[in-house]
Amino acid sequence: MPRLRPHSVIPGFGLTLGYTLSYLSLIVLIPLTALALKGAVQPWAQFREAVFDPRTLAAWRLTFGTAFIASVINAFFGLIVAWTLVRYDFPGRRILDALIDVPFALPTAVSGIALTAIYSQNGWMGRWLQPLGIKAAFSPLGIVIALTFIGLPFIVRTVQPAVEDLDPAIEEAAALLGASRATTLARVIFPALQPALIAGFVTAFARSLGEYGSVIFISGNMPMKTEIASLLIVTKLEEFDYSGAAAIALLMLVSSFLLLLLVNVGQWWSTRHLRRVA
Amino acid sequence: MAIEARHVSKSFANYVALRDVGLEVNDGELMALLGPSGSGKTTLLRIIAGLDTPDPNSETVVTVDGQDILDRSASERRVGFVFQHYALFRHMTVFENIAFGLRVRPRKLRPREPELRRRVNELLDLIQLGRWAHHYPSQLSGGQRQRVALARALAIEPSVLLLDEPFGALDAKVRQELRRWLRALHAKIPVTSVLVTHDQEEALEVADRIVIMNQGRIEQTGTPDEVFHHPASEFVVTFLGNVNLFHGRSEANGQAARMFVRPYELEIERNPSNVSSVAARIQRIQSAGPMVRVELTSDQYEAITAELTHDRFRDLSIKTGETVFVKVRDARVFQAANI
Amino acid sequence: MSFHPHTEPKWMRTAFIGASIVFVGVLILLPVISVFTEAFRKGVSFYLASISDPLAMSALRLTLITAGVTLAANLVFGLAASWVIAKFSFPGRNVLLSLIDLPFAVSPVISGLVFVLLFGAQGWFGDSLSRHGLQIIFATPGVILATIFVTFPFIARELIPLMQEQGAEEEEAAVLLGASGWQIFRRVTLPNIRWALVYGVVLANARAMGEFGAVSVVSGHIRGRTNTLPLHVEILYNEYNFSAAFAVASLLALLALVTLLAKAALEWRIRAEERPAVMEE
Repeated sequence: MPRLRPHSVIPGFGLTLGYTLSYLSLIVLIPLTALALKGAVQPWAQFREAVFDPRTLAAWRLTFGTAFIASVINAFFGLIVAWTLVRYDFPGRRILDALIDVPFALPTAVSGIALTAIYSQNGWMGRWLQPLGIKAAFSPLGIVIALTFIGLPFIVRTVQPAVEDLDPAIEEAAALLGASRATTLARVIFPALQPALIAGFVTAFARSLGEYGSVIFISGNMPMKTEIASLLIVTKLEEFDYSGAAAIALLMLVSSFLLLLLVNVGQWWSTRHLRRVA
Repeated sequence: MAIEARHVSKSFANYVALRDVGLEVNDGELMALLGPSGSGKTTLLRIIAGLDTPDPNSETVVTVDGQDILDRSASERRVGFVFQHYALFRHMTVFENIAFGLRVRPRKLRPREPELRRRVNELLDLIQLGRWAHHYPSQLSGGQRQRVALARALAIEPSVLLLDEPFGALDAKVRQELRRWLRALHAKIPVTSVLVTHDQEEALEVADRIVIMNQGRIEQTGTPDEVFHHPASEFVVTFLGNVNLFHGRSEANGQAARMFVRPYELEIERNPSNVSSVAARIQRIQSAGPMVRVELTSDQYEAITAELTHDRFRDLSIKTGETVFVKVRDARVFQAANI
Repeated sequence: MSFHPHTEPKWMRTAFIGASIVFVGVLILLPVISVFTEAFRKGVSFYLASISDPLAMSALRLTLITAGVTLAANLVFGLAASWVIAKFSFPGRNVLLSLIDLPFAVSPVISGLVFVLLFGAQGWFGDSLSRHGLQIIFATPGVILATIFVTFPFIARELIPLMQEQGAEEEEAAVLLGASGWQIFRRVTLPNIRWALVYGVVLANARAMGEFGAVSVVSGHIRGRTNTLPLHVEILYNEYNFSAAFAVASLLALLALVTLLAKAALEWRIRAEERPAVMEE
C-alpha cells in the first residue's frame, strides 16, 4: 500500500475531519454520553434495584441463555454451510448463497411475524412439533429459533472468506504425509478456521443480545418467562422509568463492548506466534 | 528552467532522510539522483515537487528558474511528475488522462476543445500510442502505461519534469527499451528533468549528470564518465558496478588504505611480470557473456573477480584449477580518512 | 470457489450439502415464503385494500421521507469520513474507525433510547424543546434521528476499505497536474468508488426503511403521523389483523428481495472491474 503522509498535499483534510468529528459527536457521542450519565449517575440502591430485581434477572438469564444457544447452533451449522458453499458445487448453490443474506436484508418486524406464523401451533413447522409436545412459539425455544435466524449470516459470512483463503498446498501436504481426510479436516483445517469461527460466534452473540423486532412477536413477552432484556427496556421507558431503562441499557452496552474487545484481544493473542515468526 | 536547492534537510519521525543537501540542475539537463533505498533521493525529489516540505531553516532555498518555489503549493508549481506505479486515472481513457491537466485549468487558461484535442493528439503521436487513445489503463501493458504517464505530465508544459523510479515496476527488457526512448524524447523535448533511480546502469546510460546519494548526503556529482572513472569515495566506487577490494598500506604515509579495482582493470598472466603480481588459483571461468569472467582465490583474498576480453582469454588458454598471476592495471585508493 | 483433488468422501459431501439445504431452507426460506402466502390468505382484493389503506399510505410516506433524508445525510458523512480516513494518516485514526462501527454493536432499542434520553419530556433538552414548541420524540424528527444513528456506518464501511486499497496516488497526481480539491473529488475519486457507493446506499436504504426497534422507541406509534411501515405492521398484527399485517409486510419483503438482487448485481460489477485486462505490447 502506498505511504501516506500526515499532512498530505491532498486538499480537504481539515474540512472532512471537522465534519466527520462533528457529525459523530452529534449523532453518536453525545447521545451515548447521555445514556452513560443517566444510567451511571443515580443512587446505587436505585441502580441495583433496577438491575438485580427478579424480573430483570429473569430477563438477563433468558437473553444471555437464548443468545448463547442460538449462537452455538449457528456456529455448528454455519461452519458446515460456509464450507459447503465454498467447496462444493451443486444445483441451487447460488440460491443457497443468496438466501444467507436474507436475515440481513429483511426488516426485523417482517421476520418476527413470519417466524411466529410458522412456529405457532397451526403453523407449517409448529404442527409437526406439537404432537411431540414441543411448544415453539411463545416459549424460549421460539426465541432461540428467531435468534438463530438473525445470527446465521454473521457466522457464514465471517467463515466463508476464511475457507476461501485456505491454502490448498497445506491440505496436499497433509495428505502426502499420510493423514486421512478426516484427520486433515480435524487437525489442519479446523484450527485454521477457528479464529474466524470464534469471531463470527461472538458477533452473532453480541447481536443476539440486543435483538428486538424478530423476537418480540414469537416470544409472547411474558414477564419472568419469555421477556427479553430489550423489551424490558422499552417497558420501563413506557412507564417513564428513564433511570431504570438507562441502567439496563448501560449494562447491555457494556457487555457488548466487552465481548467485542474480547474478540479483538483473542484474535491478536492467537496470532501472536505468527507475528513473531514473520 | 534551472533548478537550484541549497541547505535542504528533512527528518521523519524515526530517521533523517536528508542532511543539509544542495543541488544544481542546469536548464535542459537530465539529471539522475542515484542511490540505494533510504538514501534520500525520493525525498529530495518530492520536496522539489511540493509533495513534501523541508525542515524549516532560514537558509533553505529551492528555486526553479531563479524563483523561490517553497512558498507555492504542489498544484501551483507546474511540475511534471511521473510516479513509479504510474498513478494513471483508472476510469479515464488514455486520451482523457493526458488531457486532464489541461481540463482542470481555470477557465481563462483553459485551451478550447479543438486546441486541446490537437495538443493531446500531438503527445499521443510522440509516445506512439495514438491507436490506444480510447483504451483504458487496465488494457495497456506496463511500458505503455508509463509512456501515457509521461505524456500526461508533459501536457501541462511543465517547467521541470520529475521522475520517481519510473521504470522500477517494469521487466528488464522493457526497462532497457524505455531508457533509450526517454533519452530520445529528452532530445526532442529538452525539459529540465530529474530522474530518481537505484539502478546504476540506468543512471549511467540515461543521465547528463549524476548525483550519487547515500544516507541523506550527496557523495558525488558529475557526468557518468566522471563518477565512474574518478569516484570521489568508497561508496561511489562500490555502488557503481562490480569492484575488487584489496587492503594494504599507503606507500606515502604508511597508513592503512583500501584499493578498489574493477574486474576489467585486472590483468591475468602466466608468469609474474613484476613484484606486485599476485599468485592466484582459478576457481571458475564464465565465458558466456560479453566478457569472460574469471573467479580466483589467493592466499590473502578469498574472492577475486577478473574480466578479460574473449581475445585475451583465447591467447592465455587458462583452465579451472590452474594457478596464474594477477596484476593491477589501474585502481582507486582510499585511505581511512576518505572512507 | 475452489475444488480440490483431495476432498471428502462422497457420503460426507452429501451429508454436508443435505444438511445445509435443509437447515437454510427451513430456517430462512420458509419464513420468506410464508410472508407472501399469509399476505394473500384472504384473497387478492383484500391484499390490495390493505396496502392502499390510508394509514398504510401515510406509513409508507413517512418511511420514504425518513429513508430519503437519512440517506442524504449519511451519504455526505460517508464520503467525508472515508476521504479523511483513506487519504491521510493522523493520530486517532483507528479510534475514529472504531467509533464509526459503534452502531453495529448497539442494540436497536438502545439506539432509540439514547434519543429519548436527550430529547424526551424528561430528557436533557426536553424542557427547552417544549418551550420552543419543538418536538423531536414522538414526531418525525425523532424517527429520522434514530434511523440516522442506526444506518450511518453502512456507506462509510463500504467506502473506507476500497479507498484505502486504492491509495492516494491518483489524487496526488491530480494535485500535481493543477486540479483543485473539488475537481479531484469529482473527476478522480468519485468514478473510482461509484459502485461501492451505490452498494453502500442500497444496504443503508434497506436498513433505513426496515428499521423497527429504534424507531419503535422514539415514535410513540401515533397512527397516521409517526408510524413507519414496520411499525404499521406491528400495529396491525397486535390488533389480530394478521392478513393485513402480512400484506404490508410483503411490501417490505419485496424491498428486501430487490435489495438482495441489487446487491448481487453490484458485487458482480465490482468484481468485474477489479479484474485486470492487460494486453501485451
